[in-house]
Amino acid sequence: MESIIRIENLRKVYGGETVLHIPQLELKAGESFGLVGNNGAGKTTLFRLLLDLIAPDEGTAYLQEVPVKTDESWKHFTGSYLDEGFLIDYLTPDEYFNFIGKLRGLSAAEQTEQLARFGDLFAGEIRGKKKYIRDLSKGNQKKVGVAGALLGNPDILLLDEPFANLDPSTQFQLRDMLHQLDQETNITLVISSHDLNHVTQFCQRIAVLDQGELVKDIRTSDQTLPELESFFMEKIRGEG
Amino acid sequence: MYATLFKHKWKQTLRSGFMRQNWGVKILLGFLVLYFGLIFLALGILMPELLEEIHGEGDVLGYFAQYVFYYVLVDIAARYMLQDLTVLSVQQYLILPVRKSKLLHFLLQSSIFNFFNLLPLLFVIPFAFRGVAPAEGVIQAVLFSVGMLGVVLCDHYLAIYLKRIAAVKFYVFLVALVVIAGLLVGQNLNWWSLYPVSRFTFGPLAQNYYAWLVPLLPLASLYRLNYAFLKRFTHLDQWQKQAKEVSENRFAYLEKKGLYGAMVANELKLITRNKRTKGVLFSGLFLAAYGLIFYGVDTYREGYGWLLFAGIFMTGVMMINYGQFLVSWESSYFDGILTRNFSVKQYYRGKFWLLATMVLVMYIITLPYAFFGLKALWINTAAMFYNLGVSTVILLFASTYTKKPIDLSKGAAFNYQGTSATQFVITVPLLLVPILLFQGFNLLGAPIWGLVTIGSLGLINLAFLPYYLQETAKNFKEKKYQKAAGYRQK
Repeated sequence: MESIIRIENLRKVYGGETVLHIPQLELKAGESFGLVGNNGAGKTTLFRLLLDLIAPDEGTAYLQEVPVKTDESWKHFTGSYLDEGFLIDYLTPDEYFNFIGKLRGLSAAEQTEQLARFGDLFAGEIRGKKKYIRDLSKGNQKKVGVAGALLGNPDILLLDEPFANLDPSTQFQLRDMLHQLDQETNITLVISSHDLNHVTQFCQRIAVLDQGELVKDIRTSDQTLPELESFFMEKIRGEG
Repeated sequence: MYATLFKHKWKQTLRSGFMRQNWGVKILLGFLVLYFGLIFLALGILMPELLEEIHGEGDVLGYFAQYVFYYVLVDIAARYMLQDLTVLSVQQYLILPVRKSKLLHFLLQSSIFNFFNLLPLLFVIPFAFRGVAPAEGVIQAVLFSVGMLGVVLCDHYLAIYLKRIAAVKFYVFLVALVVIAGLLVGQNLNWWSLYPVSRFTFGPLAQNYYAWLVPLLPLASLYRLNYAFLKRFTHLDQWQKQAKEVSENRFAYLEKKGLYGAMVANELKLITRNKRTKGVLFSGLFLAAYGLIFYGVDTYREGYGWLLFAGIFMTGVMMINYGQFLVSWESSYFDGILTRNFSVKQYYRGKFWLLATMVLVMYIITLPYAFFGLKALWINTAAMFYNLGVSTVILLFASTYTKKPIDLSKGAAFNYQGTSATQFVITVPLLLVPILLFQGFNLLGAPIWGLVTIGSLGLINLAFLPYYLQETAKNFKEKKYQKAAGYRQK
């Protein structure tokens, strides 16, 4: 089967120091891929390379076999939310959704339907409120970003730390929602998180990034959480 | 306590964003300060001769007093637009054991130390000694300077009061604008004369020993007024703007017009919902009056060169003011733009429509210049086509090189964030080239052909728009990583 995300010998160097080097990585369509690692391990760098926001010093990243650096067509089937830098902060959430919906070619009815599944998550604080995105709380901004990334049912969804800044209830809601999405559709999810519990609960595959290298790449099982815990504990001891 | 506060204020100034500007901007600003300082100084020293030149021998002090009211009006308008409100953010002091009233007094008093208060003294004091002293004696000259300082400070506190109040109530701004502009325009069109009023009010300052006491009364009242206003707003939640309901429908019509309509609508929202861009918009509208300077003077009105300059400038100013920071305005969500599903070429086509709209709007606003004769219409039309076809393309291409972020929430006046050499370089082809080209024809005695050439240049260039957009997109793709990296550094 053709891989939906493929990385060939990808390397990023800052000031002579390699911050990310992945010789080979392939994801199959429908897979959910969790990315864990400490601060500075290279998670955001990897996302940015996949989205062509930074240029690799070596190698290529492909989304559905489209080389992202030279061909823009990946934008049509890729949804992403890394940080507030993706939100147009002087729009209201509704205006923002309309804009994205328009870009994705959604009819008004389709858009309403697709946003309806966020009803619980939004908790009545996002839609129909005439407030600019910049005036929302961090948590609500994140909800807008994630919902916007999912508009138009992309084949690939990239989320950097989607659980950070969310209150406990919302974290569980979002986790269940992503889980359901993973089960019911053929979407490919790539999600980074500092919360080992969340990712191990629904990602089929988990990779550990450490100092720019993929040091572990595991199929999730009962053993995964303890294995990850001991890995990160080891790191503290190793450094201490 | 005051000493400590002043020390903090001093550090705030030294460590502010302004001081961290790059050297090019600092040198430019330093040059401007020096330039205006010297002009004012020269004005003060030569004032007696200047007044005699205009009005003939005689009552120099009276002539001077005629203009003071005029000066006061212009000064208030200029301060309103350019002078920053001194906000030593008192927030961090409110929880410390310092009396609130002390903080407020400090806030108001420290605002005096300002370039705009120094500038008038540069011509008042020399004039006091060259104009007042010979006629009325040195003591009167000193008292006159003190009195004028009082007037200047009245200006100062009136302007900051207006500005503070207008931040809460926008109509105050409009009323002040209409009153001041009305008085000045009426004066220029000879509907009325401010001179006798001014002479009556300010004349005694130079001739009466006790007149300097008079400005103190309005000064004290204005100070109290400012103080009372601030006093009402010392709780944090009052400073926060009430998150008022925002209107979403204003650009609904455009949004229905396909992808480019939606893009232009978005950018219009950017402009109308952020402070600095709003400033750019208003200054653009304001500068539509720039042509009056040239059309009001016979020698200019009969020629062509200056009128064409005015035409190019007026139809282009809004586009240039906004367009020189194109894409940088969107620096805070640039990563988002790069991942959204439109192509770079489409993105730039949307930008072109925006710039074109600005040119057309300014063209329509400046149509009334046709009252000065149809010539004005031809000139502005040629200028409009040049801006539409040539300047837009240059601004679009130049925008691929900018990589300095802009914080939209900061005001426009004296805000040089995002400024780099690019902005200075591009004004050459935008303003200088068409003028020089035209002057070639003008000197040969064929100004009409000059206009035709400039206009057609714009039209022909417009036909190649797809090619230019393609080249711009190509360059953008090469530069975008650097650009994105630059924008992420806030």
